[in-house]
Amino acid sequence: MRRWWLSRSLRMRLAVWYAATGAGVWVVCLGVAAASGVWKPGTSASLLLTLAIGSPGALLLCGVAGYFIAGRALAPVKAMVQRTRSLSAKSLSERLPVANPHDELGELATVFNQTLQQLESSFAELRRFTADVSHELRTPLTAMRAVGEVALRERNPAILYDALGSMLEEVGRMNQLIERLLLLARGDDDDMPAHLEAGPVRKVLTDVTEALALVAEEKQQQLDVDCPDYLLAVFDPALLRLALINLVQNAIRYSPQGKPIHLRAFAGPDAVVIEVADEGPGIAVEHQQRIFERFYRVDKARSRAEGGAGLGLAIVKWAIERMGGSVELKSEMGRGSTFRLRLRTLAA
Amino acid sequence: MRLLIVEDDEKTARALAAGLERAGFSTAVAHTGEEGFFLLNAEPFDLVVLDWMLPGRDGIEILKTLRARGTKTPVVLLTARDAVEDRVLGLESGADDYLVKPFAFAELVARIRSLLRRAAPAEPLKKTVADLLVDLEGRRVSRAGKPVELTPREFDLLVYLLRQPGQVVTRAMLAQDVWRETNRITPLDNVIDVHVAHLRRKVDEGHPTKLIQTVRGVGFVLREEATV
Repeated sequence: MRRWWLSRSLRMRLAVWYAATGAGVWVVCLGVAAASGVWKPGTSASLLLTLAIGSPGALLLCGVAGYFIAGRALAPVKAMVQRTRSLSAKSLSERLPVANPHDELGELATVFNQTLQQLESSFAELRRFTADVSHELRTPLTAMRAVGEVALRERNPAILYDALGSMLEEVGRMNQLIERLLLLARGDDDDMPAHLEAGPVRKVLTDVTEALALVAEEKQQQLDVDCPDYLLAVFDPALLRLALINLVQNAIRYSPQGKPIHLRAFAGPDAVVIEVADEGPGIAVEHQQRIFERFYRVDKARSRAEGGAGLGLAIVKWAIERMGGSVELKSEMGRGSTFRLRLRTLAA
Repeated sequence: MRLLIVEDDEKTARALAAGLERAGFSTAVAHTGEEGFFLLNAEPFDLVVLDWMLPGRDGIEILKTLRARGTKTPVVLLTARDAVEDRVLGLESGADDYLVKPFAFAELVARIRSLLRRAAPAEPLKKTVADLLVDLEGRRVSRAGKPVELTPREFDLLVYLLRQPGQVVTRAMLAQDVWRETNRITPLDNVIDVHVAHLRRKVDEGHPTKLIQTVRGVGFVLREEATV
């Protein structure tokens, strides 16, 4: 019985409820009228007659009226169902009709539309990402193929040797790219917890500058560290080092010869702040929003020539956010760029 | 030294066998887990290079069976799986070393040699290659009798190259063993290149025989070679 009832359409069930309510009200009204003496049925036969004809009448009348009312009320739902049925991964740009944004169904449609919006943008991002990955993998493959085919016509061992070396370099580049992508993909899954511990920030900063000192020296750049000895923050040393090495290497790469790079750290009101500042050309505002995106490059030709795939800053952001921190860029054309990391303090 | 290579991809297996034979090992190749297991029962090997993903019995199964029977033959596990849990599982199953595909062949040779060397006698405190003399204890270096001043990092780098004379050392190996970088993603390649360039300047400049060579696309090697 219950299964049968639940398998009726909502419209039908509502109509039945209306009908039952209508008949019930009819009987109660008759009862009240009779009891209060407003209505005096002549005989018990006429009472029965009134009940026997009136009740089904009320039942039918209310049922039919209810059927139409429910139909009207549910019309937006029907429209939503039809529209939803036509949705697919390819047509996520469609939206459900919102008949009246203030009622419950309108609210449902609005929420559903928001979800669609999010789905649409993640699908678009995925498509773009796949295209970017294919492109990035194809670039070294193209180089390898070209070098290999040209080398096949060679007989000179020195040139062959060089071609093999060049192909191996591309293999290394692809391998690095894949490793980075895997790291970021794994990060999205969130199954690799950071090993957070409280530690002195200065040690990490001096570690990084020590590792990169010689590289900076090649460009006569000074790496200076300004950080109190006692400054503590909560971080994963390997992740912080990864982020800082990426940032400082970028600073060395993109700022001119002889310009110093400043690493500053201090305790802010609610976070420990680490800044990596260069005196380079700066980054235009239109790039600043997107610079942390995977594969986004400010100067495509140049960064590829330097061996970058446009993943460095995405990795920085990933690493810092894993530690519950945040990263932002402040930059003005001609006045250098400052990357500001915020890490959790001990108290927080 | 006889090595068993268990690897299902024929191209890889052939390249590994050829490369390892050139490096002075004798090899046998198995393409499936069963075949590998059969060979291991049939003849003694000094070391096994074992692929994780194999048709039939996979590498981990073979490894566990081997260890359960008390076989102590060193095993280098090869795999494309590089998540931390995978590494832990691999090592806990009894692997002596773990190499993520695609690996540099030079690194495989270095790992194999280091596993086979474990029982070897302690190394001498002074080492020479051509006219280069390195005093490991006093951390002093001289070339053709003249002292060479090195920073601590450059010294470590030189010693690392010296410990595998004639063998190519990759940047990944240097990052891990000389820079002690645990995270393979950390970009240290140009840091290493700059240090090697400095070391080369100090060790080789002004000498007709160059000792520190770059092998393009792979890494570096310490060996006597007249400049071409």
